[in-house]
Amino acid sequence: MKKLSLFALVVAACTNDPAYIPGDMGLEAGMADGMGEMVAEARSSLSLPIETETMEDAAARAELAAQLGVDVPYVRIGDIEVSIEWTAKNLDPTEGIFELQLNGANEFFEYDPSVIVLSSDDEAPETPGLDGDIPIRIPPNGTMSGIFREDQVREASIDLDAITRGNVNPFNANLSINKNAESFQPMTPPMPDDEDYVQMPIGDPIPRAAFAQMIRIDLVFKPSTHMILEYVVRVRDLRGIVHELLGDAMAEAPGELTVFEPMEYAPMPPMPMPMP
Amino acid sequence: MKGPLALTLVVALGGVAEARPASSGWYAEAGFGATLFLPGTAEYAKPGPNVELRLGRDLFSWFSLGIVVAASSHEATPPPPPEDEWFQLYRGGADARIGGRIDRLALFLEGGAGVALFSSNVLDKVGVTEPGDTFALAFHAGAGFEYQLENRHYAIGLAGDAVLIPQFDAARAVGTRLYLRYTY
Repeated sequence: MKKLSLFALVVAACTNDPAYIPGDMGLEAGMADGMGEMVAEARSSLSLPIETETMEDAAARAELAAQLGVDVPYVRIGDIEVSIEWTAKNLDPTEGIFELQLNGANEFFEYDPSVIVLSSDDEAPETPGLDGDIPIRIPPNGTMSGIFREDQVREASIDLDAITRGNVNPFNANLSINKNAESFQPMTPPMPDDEDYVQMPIGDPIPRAAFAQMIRIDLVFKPSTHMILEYVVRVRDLRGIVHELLGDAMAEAPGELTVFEPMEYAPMPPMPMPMP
Repeated sequence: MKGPLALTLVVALGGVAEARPASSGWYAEAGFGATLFLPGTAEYAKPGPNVELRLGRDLFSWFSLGIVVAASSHEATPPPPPEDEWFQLYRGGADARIGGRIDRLALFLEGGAGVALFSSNVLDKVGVTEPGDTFALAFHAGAGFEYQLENRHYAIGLAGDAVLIPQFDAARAVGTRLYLRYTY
C-alpha cells in the first residue's frame, strides 16, 4: 500500500509539472509593408494538443451532462491550467508602445472581437478582447517580458464561455471578475441597438463543472513602432489529456489529437442607424 | 594517472590502521547539497539545491553496492520567453563504491548508472531536451570522505559526483552533498 501511495505521489507530482509549447516564431509588426502602408498588427493562434477522448471519459461526460442538464465540454475549467509568457523587442531606435490582446476558442465557439459589432455608432468603443489590450511603453531597442497568468487565462476562458454560450455582453464579462464563478445564466441573444430590449434569462444556469476551457490561444500584437514578439504557452496538465509531444504532436501524431471545430461567435449585427 | 594512484592508495589503506569501530552491512544515507551544470548546459540552468538518498549493502569492508535516488531543482535560463521558470532533475540508479578507512576517516570512490528525468520541457528550446523525451540514461562517478562517529552505526560524510546524461545533449553536472550514513 505504501508503495502504491509513493507511486501515486510521484505520478501526481509529474502531472503537475508544466510543459511549454512555443508559439509562432516572432510576431512582427509596426514596420512598412513595402507598399507604403504600416503593418499595424500581427496575429498568432496556437491550438493546444489535446488527446482524443477515451470511451471512459466520453461516458463520464455524457453522464455528467445528463445529470446537469447542459452541454458538458470535453475540456473543462480545472482540467488544465494555462499561462502565456511573452517577450517583446522594440527594433526601432525610438520609444514605442504596444498592446497585446488575448482571445481564443473553446471547443464550442471562437471569439474574435474584430468581427463582433455591438453598435452601429461610429464612436462606440471597440468590442473588447478577453484580456490584455493595456498600452505598454518599451524603450528604444528595448526588450520587455510579461505574462498572462493562469488565473487570467482561467478568467478569459470563463468570459469566453459566458459571452458565447450565455450571450453575456462582452463588456460585462470583461469588466466583471468571473474566475471563481460557480455558474452563469444564459440570456436571450443581445440586440445591441434596440434600447427598449432587455435580455431575459433563458434555460438553466450553466454550472462551473460544465465551464469550457480555452483550447486555442489567439494573440493580437499591436505595436506603434517596429517590434517583434515571441511567446510560449505554459500548460499544467492536471487531467492528463495534453499530448506528450506537445507542439510536435500535430505533425508527428495527428491521429492522436482531438480536432475541435469551434463556431465563430457572431451575435446579430445591429441595425444601421437612420440618417438624420 | 591520478585516478589509479588514488584508487591504489585508498585500497591499500583499508585495514592498515586500527580503525574506530564501525558497523558493516546494510546502510542508508541521506544527504543534501548543490548541483551545478557544466558549460554546454550551464548557460540554460542555474545551480540548485539537491537531496540524495542511498540504500545499499557493504559486500566487503572495501566494496559496497546500492541504489541511489537524487533530485535537484534549477532555475531555467534559456532565452526568454519563458523567464523565472524552474525545473527539477530526478535521477535514480545503481551505485558501486570502493574505499578504505584510516581510524575514523574513510575515503571512497563511487560510480554507477541509471536514469534521469527532467520535470519539464523548458529546455527543449535550447535543444537540451527534445519533445517527448522524458527519460534518459545517466552515469555518475565521484569520490568522498566519511567521518565515523563514536556510535558505530553512524557516520557523516562529504562527497562529490560528476553526472553525464548523454541523451540530454550530453548534459554534464557536478553535485556535492553532505550526508549522514546509518549502517545497520
